[in-house]
Amino acid sequence: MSRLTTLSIKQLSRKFDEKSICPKELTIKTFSRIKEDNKKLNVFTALTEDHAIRKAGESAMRINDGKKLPLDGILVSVKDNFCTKSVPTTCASKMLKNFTPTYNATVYDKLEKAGAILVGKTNLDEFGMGSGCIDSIFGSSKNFWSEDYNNPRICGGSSGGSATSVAAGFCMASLGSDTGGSTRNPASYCGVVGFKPTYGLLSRHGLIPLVNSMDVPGILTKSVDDCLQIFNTIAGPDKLDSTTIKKPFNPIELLKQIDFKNLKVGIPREYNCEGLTSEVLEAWTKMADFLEENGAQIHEISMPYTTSSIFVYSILNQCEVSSNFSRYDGIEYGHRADDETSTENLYAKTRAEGFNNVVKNRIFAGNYFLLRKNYDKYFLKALKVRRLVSDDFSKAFKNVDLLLTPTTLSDAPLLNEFVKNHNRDQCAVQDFCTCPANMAGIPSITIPVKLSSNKLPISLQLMGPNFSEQLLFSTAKFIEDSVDFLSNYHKM
Amino acid sequence: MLTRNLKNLIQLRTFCSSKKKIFDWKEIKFKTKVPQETVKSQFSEKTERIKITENEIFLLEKLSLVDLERKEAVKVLEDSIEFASKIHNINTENVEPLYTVLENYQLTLRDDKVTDGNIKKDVLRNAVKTEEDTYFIAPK
Amino acid sequence: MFGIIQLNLCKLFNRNLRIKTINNGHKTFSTKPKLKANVFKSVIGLEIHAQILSESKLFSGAKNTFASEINSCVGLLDAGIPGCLPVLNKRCVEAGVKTALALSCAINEVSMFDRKHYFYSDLPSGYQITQQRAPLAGKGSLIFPVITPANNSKPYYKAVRIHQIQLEQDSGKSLHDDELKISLIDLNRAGIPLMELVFEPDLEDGEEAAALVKELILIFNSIETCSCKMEEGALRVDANVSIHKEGEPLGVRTEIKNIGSVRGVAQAIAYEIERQKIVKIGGGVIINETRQWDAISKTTIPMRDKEVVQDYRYMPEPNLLPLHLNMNGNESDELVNVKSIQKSLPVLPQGLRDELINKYKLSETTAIIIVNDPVLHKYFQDIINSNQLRSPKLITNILINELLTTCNKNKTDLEKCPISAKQLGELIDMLESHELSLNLAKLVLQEMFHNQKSPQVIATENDWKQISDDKEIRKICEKVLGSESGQKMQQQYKAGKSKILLAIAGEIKNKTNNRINMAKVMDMLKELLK
Repeated sequence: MSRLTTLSIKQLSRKFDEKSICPKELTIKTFSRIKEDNKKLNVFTALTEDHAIRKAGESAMRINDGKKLPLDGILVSVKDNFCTKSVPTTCASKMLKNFTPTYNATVYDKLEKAGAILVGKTNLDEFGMGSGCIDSIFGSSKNFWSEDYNNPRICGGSSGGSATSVAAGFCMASLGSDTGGSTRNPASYCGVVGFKPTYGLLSRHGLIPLVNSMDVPGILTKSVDDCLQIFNTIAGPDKLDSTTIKKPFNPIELLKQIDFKNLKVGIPREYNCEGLTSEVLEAWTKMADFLEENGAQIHEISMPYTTSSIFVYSILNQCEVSSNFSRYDGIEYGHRADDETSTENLYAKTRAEGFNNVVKNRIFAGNYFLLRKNYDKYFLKALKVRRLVSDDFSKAFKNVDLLLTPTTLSDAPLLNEFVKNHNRDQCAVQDFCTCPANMAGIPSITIPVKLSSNKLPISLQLMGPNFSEQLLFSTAKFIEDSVDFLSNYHKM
Repeated sequence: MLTRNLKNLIQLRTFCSSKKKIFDWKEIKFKTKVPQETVKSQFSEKTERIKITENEIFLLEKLSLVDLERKEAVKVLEDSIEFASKIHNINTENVEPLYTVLENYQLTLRDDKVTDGNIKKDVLRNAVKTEEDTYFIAPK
Repeated sequence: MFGIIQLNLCKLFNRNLRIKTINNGHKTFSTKPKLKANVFKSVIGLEIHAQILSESKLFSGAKNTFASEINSCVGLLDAGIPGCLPVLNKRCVEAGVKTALALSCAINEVSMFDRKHYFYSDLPSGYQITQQRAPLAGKGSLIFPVITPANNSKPYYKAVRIHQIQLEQDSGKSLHDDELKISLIDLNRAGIPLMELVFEPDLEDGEEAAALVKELILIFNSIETCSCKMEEGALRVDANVSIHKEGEPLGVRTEIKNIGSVRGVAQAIAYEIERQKIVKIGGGVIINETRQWDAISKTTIPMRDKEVVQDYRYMPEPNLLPLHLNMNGNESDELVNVKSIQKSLPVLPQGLRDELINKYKLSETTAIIIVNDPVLHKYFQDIINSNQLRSPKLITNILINELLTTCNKNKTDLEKCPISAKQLGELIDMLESHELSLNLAKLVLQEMFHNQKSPQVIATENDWKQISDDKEIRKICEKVLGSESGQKMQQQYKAGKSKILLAIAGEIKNKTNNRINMAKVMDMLKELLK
């Protein structure tokens, strides 16, 4: 691990000012490391070396001229389901292998305009469907913390590439996406900070949709400070996205002091679910205790509909997928099969060749649930239960300010164990603690707290009501400072 | 060189962290509010398995156009339906569907101005087949 | 007020209920005479798609226009490029609200958008964004006159209920190239805003349907929310047609598409009704299918792409929040203000007809004909407004009978008629003052078609002015009476042959080249022969 990448964004930026580090040299050095280490980890679907070096040069000039932009010289990676102009955006699928967008996703555009430098697009489960970062045409990504890269651990998913790119020090920050936990899950397994914003605070323009009503861009960084800085850079309304909240965004500052005496933390009992390992339970128990030690009030609460989130999610996910994916037919873009006998045949062959089985099966199921005769029984019913899940949160937040829960039920599983289960079952287990936040739209942050007996990261999750980002980040920072997880990186 | 820097860094951090308390993961000071036993769902886990009819498969194949191998597709579908059927154990009487978490917000409208278009090249750029760089092409 | 009357009528109205006469001022409501059992009744329901007049499209900022360079008015969203999201055009909402108010529909304060899924090469997203479940406007009604030029029957008023009005996207266009055996896709039209107007099946035949479409076009022209150019596809009419025998349930219906004109509406429906009758009488069965109107062969033919397997799987559009309208008139910049749109509604066709009848005392038929043709109506307004003393009846007479004939004779459409209202006004004045006889006026009219000269000048130049001066008429009468033949006819008249007066008048007419006020001649002769 290069010592440079243990610096925070602010610290690195200051070193640029002091001229003790040159952005261009740093970029070049980082790329030589990436090209070496990526063979082991398989993080990227595409590298943008020439672009990055050129941009680094521009950053350097601006810094020299005293016109430094806030993120000048800062290397970032972007999950390969965000549209990046002139850079292929494949969603790790054959369907979009040949797709090069002609526009930038808004959140990436904001990063670029602030001076950030793209190192490459990161690997994911095809179209974001998965919790392991294994179902990709580029092969699976490997967890940076794996004891043995020949018998690797999964990164988690679907933003596994993003999480690993940060954990391995290939960049300072990464944009991921979070639909049912796709940012927080790999963040948890890879020992980085993963943040899911309040739905509507970050623009989805340019984020290739999975489930429009739950998707949000997510942020992965090594520290809470970095995460907050990225968030402040990219948040705010977008007139190209009708689901962004149109109030002007005021950058968030961490609270100087957390008022623990008046802080009520809820522990939803249902999050001790089947499959929760004792080590994660211990960490959760200890952290609640630690907060109490600092003066917070800890309340055990019940959120009964938590257990139903996962099957509600499966219905809504499959329905939206079948709808969103009806655009992939090979005519305007994407893979086009070699069958011009009829439109129907062309579509069928294109989609058969372009999608993997996970995608196809979700489309099939989604269409079933949306049939007129089934609509009330499944889709509408699922939306009603979704409200019950969301109401669980509203009721909870009447009595507490934050919720503390595990993020994933265990540390990172072995790849060869993980693949034994079907995608739906994988997600059912992996997404248990994370998908309720997506159903309600509330913000959530995951922070690595310690290593397991397998020397793999264990993380915990904080959730708050809508727009409680300030409290979330501040509390997360407090925990981060207290546990000092980053020192674990030096043992690597 | 890297190792030397790393050693320096570790020394630096150790010095800093000696000021800070090392987090004690073992000691629990208060009676815990975190449940120590698995909490079972309040709702029945009963599921319903449905058999998909020939007509339904035919319809779904036409609506999906994904060319899945039929036997496998049906099995996976029936599994998904069975998994989904757990929602029927939940009482949703008098509960309104949650279509969007932003349901209390109003849709923002756009001014009627031409701000887009005239980008034929961009629109056609990713099409595998075009006619004279002007039309998209579909089979007859 | 009128809207309330219509709403109340809707409550009364039931397809099986015959309304004999409803007294609503001057209007007479009637239905066709009761048919014998065993005779087929036809039931028609229209679905009309109207393209909204706006600068940009419904959800993207690309230009909303017709006949542009291929794929030049296409945004990434319109091409279904992934990652692009819809943003709703305010003007389209306003147009939808205005149209709904003009049709007395209930405006829904909150409406939502849905996705309607099907695969087609001109639908890049694989779904159309529409408003199936919670549309912009709900139930309304339209009362309109039905007048058939063919048999000049007395016009009657028909009431039709509107089920809902919804906003939705238009699709792209695919042109079939038979030689290359491919479809060429142009997405200029993809995403253009449409209003879909769904009518209840309250119509009984093709003429009623055509009259409904005609009335809609008049309304759209006055509220300017749709260009109604059917030849450009700006207004598209689909007809659902079924037949059944009195007392039996409704028959299976067929859907007729591809109707390109108002006349086509009447013809296509008439043909389809006949076709269904023939099938049923022959013992056959009507299939629920979509047929297209072929204007050349004047028949309906089954469409090739039969959608045997279809389920649109309507799903709420997750990228659009619920659409709220400002119903109570308080200041709000962002929301569309229904009250202010209501206030801005112009006088609608029925209001214009009422004005002609009440203010100008014209007959119902005349009012209908005049308002039916905005060009005629404008002429009328211009002529009467420049001189309120002119006789409305005479004006309409000239417009309907003479002007149209002249245009036809010169193979010109009324819209392109070169005669000005000023010229017509003067002509009418000359008729009223008997300076011109009707026959001569026709000649002047023809002249005016080819030049800008005023009727006075033309009449003088051609010596067509009618002799109306009493002294001169007396002179001419006396002269004729004094002639040899005249004296003979006088004697016959005095002998009792009163009809000989016409012969004398006829001679006077000939002698003056038909340029004399005949009414006055008759009076004069009677006086002279007393």
